[in-house]
Amino acid sequence: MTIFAAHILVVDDVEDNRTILFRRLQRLGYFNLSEAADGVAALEHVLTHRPDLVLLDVMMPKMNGIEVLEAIRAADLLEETAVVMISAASETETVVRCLDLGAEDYLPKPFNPSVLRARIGSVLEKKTLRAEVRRQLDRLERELEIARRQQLAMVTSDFDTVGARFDVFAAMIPAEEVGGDLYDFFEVEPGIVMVAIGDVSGKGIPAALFMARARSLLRAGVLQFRDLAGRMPRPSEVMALLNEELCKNNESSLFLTLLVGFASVAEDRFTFANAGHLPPVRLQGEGACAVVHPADPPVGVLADMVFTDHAFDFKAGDGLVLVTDGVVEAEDTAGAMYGTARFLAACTAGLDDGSARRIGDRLMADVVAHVGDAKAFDDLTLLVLCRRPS
Amino acid sequence: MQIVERHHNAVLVIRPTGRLDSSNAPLLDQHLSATIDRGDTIFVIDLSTLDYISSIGLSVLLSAAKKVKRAEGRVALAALNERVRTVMEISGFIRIFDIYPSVEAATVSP
Repeated sequence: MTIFAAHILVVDDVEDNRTILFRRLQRLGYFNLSEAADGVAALEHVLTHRPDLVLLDVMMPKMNGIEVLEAIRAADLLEETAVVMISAASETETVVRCLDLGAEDYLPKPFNPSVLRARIGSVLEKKTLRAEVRRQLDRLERELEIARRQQLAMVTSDFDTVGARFDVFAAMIPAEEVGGDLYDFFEVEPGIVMVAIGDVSGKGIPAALFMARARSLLRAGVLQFRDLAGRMPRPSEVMALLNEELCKNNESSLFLTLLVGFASVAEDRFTFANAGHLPPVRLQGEGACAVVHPADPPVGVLADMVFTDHAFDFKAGDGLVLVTDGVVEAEDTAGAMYGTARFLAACTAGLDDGSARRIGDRLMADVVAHVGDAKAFDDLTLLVLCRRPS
Repeated sequence: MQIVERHHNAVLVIRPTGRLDSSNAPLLDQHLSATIDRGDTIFVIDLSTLDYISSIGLSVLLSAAKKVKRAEGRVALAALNERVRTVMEISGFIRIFDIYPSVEAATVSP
């Protein structure tokens, strides 16, 4: 819309003044003009027609300009209808008061055509820009909301797909905006389950897209490797494959901390590679302990990186817990972190149940209880894998 | 975030103070980019007064290191406190960066 199509309401109790303003505005190119001879009529017009701009005289009988301005402000219409006060040059205090009340500008009487053109033009342009920004923001928010839903739909919550020997559960509570956490699990072949958990540096759309890329590469990479090589890949090989892909065109230096592992029934082992992620927590008998090795650098940092495989026994009745740092670093209202000690204790507390879902639910409930009313800053993601007792 | 530049043993030393998290990271990112763009591609980042570093903070350091490498310069990190060092270790970044116990050590090293 060009600013000349703007609907302008001229309010002045002196007919001559209205006529002059009308003529000047028409000469400047504005054609969508209305007039009101007093404050009451002006307010009535604003409420029913929502003009883009009101040129409002201060001194008027019945209802003066300040009262009209206050009423427009009270009706919360100042964003839609800009107000420019018309005042004698001597009324400085009144002008200041009107600007405080939300008037955009003022026009001194008598009217100077150049000042009139400049002020009205700038007020209308500002208004157009603001409306445009608002429209863009609304669009962006809508798109972000859709992106977030898509992202959540990308991680699977169908836990009955890992075969009878395993029991898996995972949960993700995203922070407000789209984030970069991911988890995945699937049965690669009978008796072998892949699990993965990761966290992309940063937040927002770039992190979410990077996460989506990683998530697709992970599954496809494992299956393709197996088909081409005729054997299961080692976790370090999966990691290297992802790293090569994600290092390409990564100018913004996004990276992904990732833990990928395979649990094998035949070997009674869990083999994993850890690219900068928190160590896995092993649940065995009565205890929970973090299996700490020096981590390799995250995925996407440096091409040609060599990753290391680690392993621990993973027999019938054993379990393991993977989390993102959003869990351990979750802060309560006082800023205190959830912390590793409480995290390990909460892992142990669920052990007697033996079910992945119960361990995961209890853990997540404990973190959520810790956070309380504090705003979650980071995504909270966890994955629990158990070998069913034979 | 406060960022101070000085010279030590004729080497440029950049010291960020405070928390390097998502709200502050862009400040340091701009500062380091400007430094590299103006041709200062050999410098030490003094982390002695850095209280906290998040993953986005790590990616700022990484991004600077990549740019410096392309410009055939050299960047070193010095004087990491316990907490920042732990983050570097857990995240595996300790293997990526050139890390020195002190600014002195970083500036005299060849």
